[in-house]
Amino acid sequence: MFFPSRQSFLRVVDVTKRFPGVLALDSVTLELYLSEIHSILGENGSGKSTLAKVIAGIYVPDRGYIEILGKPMKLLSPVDAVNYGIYYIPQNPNLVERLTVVENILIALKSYSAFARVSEVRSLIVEESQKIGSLIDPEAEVSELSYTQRQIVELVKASLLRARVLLVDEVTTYLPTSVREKFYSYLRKLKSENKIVLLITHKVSEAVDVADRITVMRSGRIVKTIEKAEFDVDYVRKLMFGENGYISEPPKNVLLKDLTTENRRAVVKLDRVWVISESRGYALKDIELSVKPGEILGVVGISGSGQRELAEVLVGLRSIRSGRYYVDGLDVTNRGPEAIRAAGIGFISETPLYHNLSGDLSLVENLALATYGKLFLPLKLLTAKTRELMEKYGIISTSPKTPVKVLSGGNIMRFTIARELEFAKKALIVLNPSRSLDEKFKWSFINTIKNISRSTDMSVIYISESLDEVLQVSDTVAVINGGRIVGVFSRESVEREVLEKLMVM
Amino acid sequence: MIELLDWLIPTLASAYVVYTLTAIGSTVIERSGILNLAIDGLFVLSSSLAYAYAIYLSILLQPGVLATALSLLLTAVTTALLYSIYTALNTVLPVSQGAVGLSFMFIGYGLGAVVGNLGRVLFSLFRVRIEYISVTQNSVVFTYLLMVLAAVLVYLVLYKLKLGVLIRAVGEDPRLVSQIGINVAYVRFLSGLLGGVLIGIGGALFTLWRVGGWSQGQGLSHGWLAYAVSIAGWRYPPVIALVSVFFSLAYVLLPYLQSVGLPIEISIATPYVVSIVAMVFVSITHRRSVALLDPKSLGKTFFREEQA
Repeated sequence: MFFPSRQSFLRVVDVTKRFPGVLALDSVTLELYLSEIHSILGENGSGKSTLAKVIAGIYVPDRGYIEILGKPMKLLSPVDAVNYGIYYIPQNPNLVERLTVVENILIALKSYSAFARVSEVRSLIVEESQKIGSLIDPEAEVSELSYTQRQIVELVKASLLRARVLLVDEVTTYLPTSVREKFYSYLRKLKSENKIVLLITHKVSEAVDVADRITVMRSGRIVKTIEKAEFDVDYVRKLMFGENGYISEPPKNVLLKDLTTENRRAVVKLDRVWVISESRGYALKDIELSVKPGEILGVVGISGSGQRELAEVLVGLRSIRSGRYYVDGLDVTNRGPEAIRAAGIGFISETPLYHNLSGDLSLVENLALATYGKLFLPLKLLTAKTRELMEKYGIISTSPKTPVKVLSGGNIMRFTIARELEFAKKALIVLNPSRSLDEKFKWSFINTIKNISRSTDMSVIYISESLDEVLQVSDTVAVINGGRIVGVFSRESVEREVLEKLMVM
Repeated sequence: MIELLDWLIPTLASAYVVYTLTAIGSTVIERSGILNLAIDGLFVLSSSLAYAYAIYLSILLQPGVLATALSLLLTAVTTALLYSIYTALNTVLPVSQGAVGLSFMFIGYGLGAVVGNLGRVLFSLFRVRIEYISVTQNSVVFTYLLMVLAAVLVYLVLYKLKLGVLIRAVGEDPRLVSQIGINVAYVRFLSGLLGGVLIGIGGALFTLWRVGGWSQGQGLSHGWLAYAVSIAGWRYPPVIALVSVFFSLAYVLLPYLQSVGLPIEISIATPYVVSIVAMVFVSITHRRSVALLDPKSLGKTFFREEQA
């Protein structure tokens, strides 16, 4: 096909990038036109983020190069990329936690000299964030902001930088629906201003809905680039997963357990718990929750409703201001994570490298850290155990001795899941696990949790922003909103609409 | 009592100025994430440099205020350059900051001895007199005010100007900052210049005002004291200006304590005991404000490329 109006801006030419033991990009060639939303679609570890980082100059390719306006850039640095108007927004926002919003934006703005005052950009930020549709307090410290607010800060930054190519890496994954719509319309506006948006996602529906062209990637290679006319969800899925790899539907519900007749003591019980927020006021208000053996309690709410705080309280990382916390009848209020883990409670976090694993340590060492309490480590045994877990959960790593941080996000998540499932005896706290999991593994993870909970009587508290997942996994569903539990329902008796209303109420 | 104060206030002034400036300089460097292990060596070097420059300039021009002022300035510039090399090198080389820091410390000790002895040789050949700084009773309050001003100025640079935000940002998360297109080594180079000027002035004043001369090994361990002041002041200039008073007091009161019968071993150990107590106190206090926390990447080796 011939498109006379298309004007090429940037080309990725035959780029290969290798990490220890992994071929992340294998001879990738791609062309981006002005005024398009181009989606890069692929599973975890397919090389999407690596490609984006090569374009942004963060990674130097082993072979091949980037060409901008016909000019080959043999050694593209992040500084060059920003100068050419290429701006990368990663899945985890690139913001310095301990600086304020205005400080974070000021350091990125080249047009301000080193002697510019911080106060000069304050009003610009307010103005620009209003345009995107969500007001941000410029003086707020980034660590106090929710995930969504951080993404908006990134967008404000990109638009103040007058980015010509915006690389958006899985940004929308957990934005609440209302914000996501605003975000899409903002992307379309950028397109109409003759800019390029590279939308990196593992969600087929998102790519099909928003993009003008889709490039599907699988294990470091480009499978195909398709035009809007060829968009078809099934066809795209086939390209993404291969002919046989895809589970087309979520697994059927395992028969629900009858929990009402079992009058057993709660494994995990929060009794009128209040927790102070880092910014101001309370992050959790008067929380009452209890989970019986073998019960899966789903806690659902839109992003920033107190999920993270709830998870941190349950694993002992946050202190309780008033109220009590019991594990199996034992009072563990403010006794710290040691006491809670000793009681057999596992934790799978949305940010494993922050909550669960040490990035510099190997898989084996991380396994030992969590599961082995004696002075001398039986390394052979632990290594064998690690290999077994790698195989069972499909964790791709050069060796069990590889530092965890060099694994891809999806593999780090899989390893966390593997280890915590191995560790948890009484209960498992799960926080937004699917943020870095692809669809296929997500459903198999949910299935695994269900099966383990059925067969071993382990309780699960599944805290998530996704109503689909919570409905799929839970026996009981609780809705969290503004730090309060606003409703608890049995899965069979509740309508989806009721929950949705409570979530956004 | 009045007599004691009459003696104390001017005597304290020189120690206070030296420790405060050096500690604030060290703060600027460490806020950018570079562990300032070189401090003692470079302090010794700058105090020796001041002596050698002063002798040389006194021969070249003539002994007087100008020669002294110029030697102060030259010491500041030299130390700033050395520190900017130190901070940039620590960023560019993928080696431990501990190794680079201690190497610079020993280089500083060695060069300090060489430079100081060069000054001595010049002195024995030409027999010039250096015009050392002395502050009169009346103007001594002014020097304290000047220190408060210095603390406020550095505070403004660190917290109200883009330069300071950049310095603190690379101290927190250099990899992330490099990903948004900022040259981390360059920012740290600047923090080395700024911090180095202050440390250089501190070292120079140690020789030209506090001691009023030079001897082998001069300045040794005073750099560490200033480092302790910086940490005890939470690497936050206004607090440093405050806690520096106590450290200087501990140091200045030594001869006085000896004169009232305190064993010399104990009196020599006093400032270090004060440092240790202060640092323990600092490490167990809960710091509410983020500005008072340690820089997150302090002392960490910086690799630009790493798979996230």
